[in-house]
Amino acid sequence: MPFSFTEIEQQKTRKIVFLFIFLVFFYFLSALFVVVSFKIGYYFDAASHLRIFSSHFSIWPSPPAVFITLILALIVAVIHWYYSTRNLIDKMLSYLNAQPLDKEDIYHQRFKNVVDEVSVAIGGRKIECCLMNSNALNAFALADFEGRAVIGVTEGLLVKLNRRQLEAVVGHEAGHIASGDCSATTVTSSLFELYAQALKVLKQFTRGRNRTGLPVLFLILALSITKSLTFMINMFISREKEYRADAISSRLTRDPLSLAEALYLISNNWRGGGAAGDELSSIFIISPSWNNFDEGEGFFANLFSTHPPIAKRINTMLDMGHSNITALGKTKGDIAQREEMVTSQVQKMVSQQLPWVAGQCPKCHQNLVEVLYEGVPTWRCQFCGGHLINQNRFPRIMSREIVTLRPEIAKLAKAMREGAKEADYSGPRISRPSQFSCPLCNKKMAREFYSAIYPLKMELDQCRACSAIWFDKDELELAQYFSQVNP
Amino acid sequence: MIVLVILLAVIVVAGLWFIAAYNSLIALRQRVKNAWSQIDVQLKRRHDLIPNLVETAKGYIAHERGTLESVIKARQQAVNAQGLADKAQAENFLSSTLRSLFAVVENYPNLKANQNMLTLHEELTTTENKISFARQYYNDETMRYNTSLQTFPTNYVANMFNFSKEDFFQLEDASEKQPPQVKF
Repeated sequence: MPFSFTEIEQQKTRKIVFLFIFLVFFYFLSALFVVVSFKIGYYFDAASHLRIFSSHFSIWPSPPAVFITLILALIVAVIHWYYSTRNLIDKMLSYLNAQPLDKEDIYHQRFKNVVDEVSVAIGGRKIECCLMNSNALNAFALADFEGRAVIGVTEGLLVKLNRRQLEAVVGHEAGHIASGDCSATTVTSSLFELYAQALKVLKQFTRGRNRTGLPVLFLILALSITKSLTFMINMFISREKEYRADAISSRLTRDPLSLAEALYLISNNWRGGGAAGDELSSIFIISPSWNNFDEGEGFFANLFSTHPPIAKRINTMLDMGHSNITALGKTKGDIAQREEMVTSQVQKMVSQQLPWVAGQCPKCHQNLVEVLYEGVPTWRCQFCGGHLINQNRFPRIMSREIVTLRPEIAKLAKAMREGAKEADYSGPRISRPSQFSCPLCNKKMAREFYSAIYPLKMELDQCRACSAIWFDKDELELAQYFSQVNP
Repeated sequence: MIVLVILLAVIVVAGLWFIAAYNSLIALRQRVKNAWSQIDVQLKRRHDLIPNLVETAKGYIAHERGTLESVIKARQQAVNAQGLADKAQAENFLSSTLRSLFAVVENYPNLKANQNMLTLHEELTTTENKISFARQYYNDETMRYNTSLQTFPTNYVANMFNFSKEDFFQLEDASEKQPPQVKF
């Protein structure tokens, strides 16, 4: 690694000090602005508007006032800094709605293995993993001052990238962590997340209450200005760091072509970052929100864009690998067909063994068997083909597309939609007792809509006490069909 | 008078540089040692995974006893090896036996799809990757250390305190250097 850790420490300290000074400066200027505008407002009234032109009036407050403003700004900055950097990583993870790994999921296991490999390659530094429940493709890295580091990816990324591409992406994030710019990015995002949150809360507060008084409007205006300052902060977070992380990734994995393929796939897909918003975009590998400046270079682009042009990044990697852009056209999401073959073979093997597992099929009263469906452990009845799935694991299945859906499913889905149009399902969630008893706790399940949102407005048997959902033979594939083909 | 002060300043600066150079050489050498022990950690993990692998495979590929036995023997040799050269040779031999075992497993789709086998295969793949990453890291650190030893002016400090070059981790298994032959 070209970085010595003492150098990183020195850089980190300088950046942190710089950030803090900027914070104090910012508060000082804002306070000064407020004081000056009040002064003008005070002196400027209709009857005596000429007063401001008198010789005794000075637009600047007196030196003691300035000094007090500075002290107040310092205090506010310290409070803001302390609030934002306490439990820095946990706070950021909860903004991103990050989930921990599931030990029994083979995709999560594979992800953890890849992160462990990359951490060996950078010298054995411990890196934690987490996931975002989203079909989108993106990855992020967080680091704090004590040395704790986290890499996170979206569920969609785990599925659509093969192992080499996943390793390249993880290598890129590890590059951010190893070179030390991750902690500055994390702190900056956290500092300004405070205002974004406050703005959201205020907007909700004033909506529908007709409280359009002047102070509220003023506050919203001030906060909107502050939020747009996040773009200015991007000056501290140079776009160039992404090039450096790309270079570190190819140095670690010795595989620039995989990184080029991964960037290509991510940029051609939905690359959302969840509900996190624009403030956190600098921690991701490719900016989740698209803006006009992204593909440009030059002064304004550097000001308003967090990431460098993707085309340039991909071309750099391709040059390194002595390849060109036409080779990428053949890369589709290289979802290993071997995995589909293996999964179906596993199901065949398991049906011959029939080990005892918890619970029996509610319909057939035969033992349920644990199989992997789309890489997730589920309980299946070998006779009727129904599945019992844990509520937390079900959303993941919907974002995975390895299992080819049968053509009959499309017809069934169409018939279901036609039927639904005739009935009126616009009321509150209708829940009625199901004919089935829960295999785990033996109480009656409830037949209710899984979700009130259109694509997944289908009725399923659910047991609230056990967080389990029972799918009849075709219901699971129908659910996948609705979420993938018919959004 | 001025000349004396300048001379003193130069001596102080040179002394500080000297101390910094020596400390950096020590730190680099320790990093190289740490990197070497990281490789050992991964190798040991591989040793621990192999008995499980052999047990799982035994039931299915009873005819291929030769392959299985060579894996077991190679593992025993690797665990018992002492000394750097012996260890490297034993580990390379173990890698080649594992390769032939997995080539054999390809012919038995039942075994290939077995749940245990899949997990073990993934574990072994990631351990092999970690071993090669650990070797890569070791070579990177060795390169930095050796470069630092030989560049001017740090080489004077190195010679004074007898810092010696470290060896790179190299492929000793001659067959690994041959490109794989694909025959149809």
